[in-house]
Amino acid sequence: MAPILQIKDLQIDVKMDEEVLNVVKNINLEIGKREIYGIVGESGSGKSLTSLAIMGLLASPPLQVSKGEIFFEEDKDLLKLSSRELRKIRGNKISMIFQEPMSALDPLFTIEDQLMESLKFHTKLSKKEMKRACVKIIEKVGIPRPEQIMKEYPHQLSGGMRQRIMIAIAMLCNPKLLIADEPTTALDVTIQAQILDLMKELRDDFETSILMITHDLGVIAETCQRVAVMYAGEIVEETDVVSLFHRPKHPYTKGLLKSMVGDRSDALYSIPGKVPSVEQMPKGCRFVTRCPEAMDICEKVSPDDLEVADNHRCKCWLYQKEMANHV
Amino acid sequence: MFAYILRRLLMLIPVLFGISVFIFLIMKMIPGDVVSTILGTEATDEARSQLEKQFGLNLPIYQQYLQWMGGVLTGDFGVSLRTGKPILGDIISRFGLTLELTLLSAFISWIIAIPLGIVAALKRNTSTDFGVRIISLLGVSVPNFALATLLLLVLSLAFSYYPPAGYVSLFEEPMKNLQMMVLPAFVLGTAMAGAVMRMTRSSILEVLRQDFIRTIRAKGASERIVIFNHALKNAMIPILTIIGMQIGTLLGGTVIIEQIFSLPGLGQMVLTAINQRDYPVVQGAVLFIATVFVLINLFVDVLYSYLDPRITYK
Amino acid sequence: MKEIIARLKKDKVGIVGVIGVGLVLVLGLFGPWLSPHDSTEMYKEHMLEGPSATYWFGTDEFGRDIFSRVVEGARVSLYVGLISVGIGASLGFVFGLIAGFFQNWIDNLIMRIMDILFAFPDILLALTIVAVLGPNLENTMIAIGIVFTPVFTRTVRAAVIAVKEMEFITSAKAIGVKTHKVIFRHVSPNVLAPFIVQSTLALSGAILTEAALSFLGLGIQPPNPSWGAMLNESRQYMEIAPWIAIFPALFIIVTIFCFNLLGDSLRDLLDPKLK
Repeated sequence: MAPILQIKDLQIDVKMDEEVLNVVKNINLEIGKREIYGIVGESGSGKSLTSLAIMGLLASPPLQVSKGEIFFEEDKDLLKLSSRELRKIRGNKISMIFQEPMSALDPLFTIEDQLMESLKFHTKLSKKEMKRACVKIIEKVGIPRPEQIMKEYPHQLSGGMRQRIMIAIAMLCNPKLLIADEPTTALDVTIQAQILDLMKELRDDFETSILMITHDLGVIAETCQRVAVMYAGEIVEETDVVSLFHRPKHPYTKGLLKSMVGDRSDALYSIPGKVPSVEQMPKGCRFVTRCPEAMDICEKVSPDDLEVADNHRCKCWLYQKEMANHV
Repeated sequence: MFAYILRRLLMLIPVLFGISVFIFLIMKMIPGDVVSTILGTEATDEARSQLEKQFGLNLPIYQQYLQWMGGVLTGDFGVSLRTGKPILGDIISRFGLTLELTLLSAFISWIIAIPLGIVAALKRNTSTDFGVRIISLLGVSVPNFALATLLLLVLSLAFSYYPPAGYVSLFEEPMKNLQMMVLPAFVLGTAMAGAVMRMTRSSILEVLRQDFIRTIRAKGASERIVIFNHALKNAMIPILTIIGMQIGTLLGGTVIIEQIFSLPGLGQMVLTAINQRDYPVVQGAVLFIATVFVLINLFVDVLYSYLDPRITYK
Repeated sequence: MKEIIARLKKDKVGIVGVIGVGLVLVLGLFGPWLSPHDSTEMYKEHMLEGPSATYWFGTDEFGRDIFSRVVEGARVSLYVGLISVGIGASLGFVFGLIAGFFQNWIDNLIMRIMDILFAFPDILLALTIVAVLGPNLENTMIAIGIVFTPVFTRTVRAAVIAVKEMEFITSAKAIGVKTHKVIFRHVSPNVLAPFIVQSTLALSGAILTEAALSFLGLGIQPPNPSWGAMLNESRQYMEIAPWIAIFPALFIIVTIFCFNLLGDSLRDLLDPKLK
């Protein structure tokens, strides 16, 4: 089946004073229809930048897409669209929800205003029809008494409620793709589960693909079919969710899994060191500064993105060498 | 809402009380007494004591205050020492002009400042932004009387233009009135615009950094909608604070401008009264202006809570 | 402090401000040696003459040398500005310290009085005070000092309260150190930054207010030169002798502008979150 979204060789740079530094590189991925695709990584791994690039919402300057293609519904390269064409897709066919439901809604407008706004941009419905659509979607995201909620302001709602409203706004125009950037990070654990369930339900009802961006492997396990692991602006491993949890290849993925809560070891593991800054990016493999299995070659040359098993890509010298030996 | 406004009005009472005591005491500190000012130093004792009685000057000071306040509260501000006319009537008839001038200046300042402030914010750290910064600093720095003088000089020398003389009110001859007001209002407006520009720039920048702006863009909004429907409305709250404070400055600033342009407003009334040592008039007019200032700030606060649903009426 | 100077060097606007303020200071300090004529001497044969080699900025209606008067005016402006800001700043410092320190009924009383002073437009308050005290140099400075007291009081009080809530004060309390001592030791450095910025801006405000009062005839009295008074007197003759209006106006504008440039870049430097 044709993918709904296909990213090819995406690269994002940041322009600082006179210097141009790379922040995201060699991103290749495909999201199928009705698929929930996860991108997991620490903060600073470039996962949010990637999602903003899809939306055309990168803060430019200083950020800019310097290379690559993003195909939506097979033929449209989002990066080549004019800002007007892009606006027609944004919030309509591709929509997005964000991490902070507390600050993601305009405090000065009622919920109704903020829902209606989306419909005004993308439909030609009458006011009555718009209102009916809003009520319907609010009910759909599991909020009782929609008429009353619509008259309220964001600060009158709880965090979980606001995130439901955000989802309602995102789903209003029946999008083909929903990008969820850490949708549950700011919420209580119980509410987290509810929101994730809601998203799965909506995926089934609306046949929407979801790009789930998170640092939490738990969220990935619960929702996704396929996962890409990002580190320092690159995808280091990509496979289906079962393989990722049972047969991780990349040392970084292994580290992430080890540091998950619920691991049997006594003390919680954490990967030593931190993500290198853009200015101090290693020349070879970007993970080399923290990798327990680093070799000489890792420091000098960046490994290729290779198919190490069926539907399993990994970018690591451990496997590249192995395969080279086979040849 | 009404309860909130009422409560705020009640809270003004101690402030207004303080203001009136302050004005009253300061007027009492004037060296030399009113009686000799009126009658001259060679008046008979009889005439003196009669006049003292008439003004209540023989009473203890707190009774004098109570008498004055009692009058003020019933709408009797006393009479002018010079003309013998009731002060309040004069204040009210002149207040119209000052209010018109203030509002017109405020309006001129906004139509200059808010667009420039927005442009500066959107083109942050460019030469446009720098230019706006210089313009706004100039606006703050050029004293209105200097600008007025230079403007009149240039207009008369280069264009042989003189503002029309002989004041007419807005209701008599609207066109001529506006012709007279536009120049003074422009002078006052540009002075005000500087600070409003800065505030607009910084609060727009502040708002554009907020998460919800990204949400609105993600909905597919055009930049026009992002800026005008959302950023500006959110930025308006801090801008309003500055504007409220400035209207006070304007009420004071009109003293000079009314003088330069020979406009018979409240400011000119105060100045004439000071020069003529007509202290009941000074006392009354200053109390009136301070009260209006306090009320305007209250109005801004109420507007604030109207604009921002997060502010509860407590 | 070194870092601030280093950053100021990079800020072109700030440099212009520093140079401008410096020039005005030089005019003010060395005025009598710089000006070719006595500022009150009337050259009766040279009334309302245009700029020339003898009278660089021309002469006024009494035949006085405008350049000398403008230079002398710089002296008056700076003098009034410094003294009145000094009055306002010291009063504000004391009141602010007391208010912020005690935060009880004294605080309440002081701040309500400041509220009352704030309820008057600046010029009007200064005007009223001068009218009461009588128009002359000293009273002008007192009046402007009073006008600027509330701003300083609020700045200092806010800084004191901020310091009181800092963690190390709490920990000092916890280990039994006399908190008053700690607070005093930390208040001054923390108050300094906003205080400097406030002073620079108040200085331009004070110079402006003095000029305005003198313009209205209620500040510096003739024959002493003041930019405001000169500008006011010029209005009668400016059409036939524009120079008598232009030079004082230019000096007021440039002086206040430079002080504001300096204050503005100082604010950006010392309080980056406002930028």
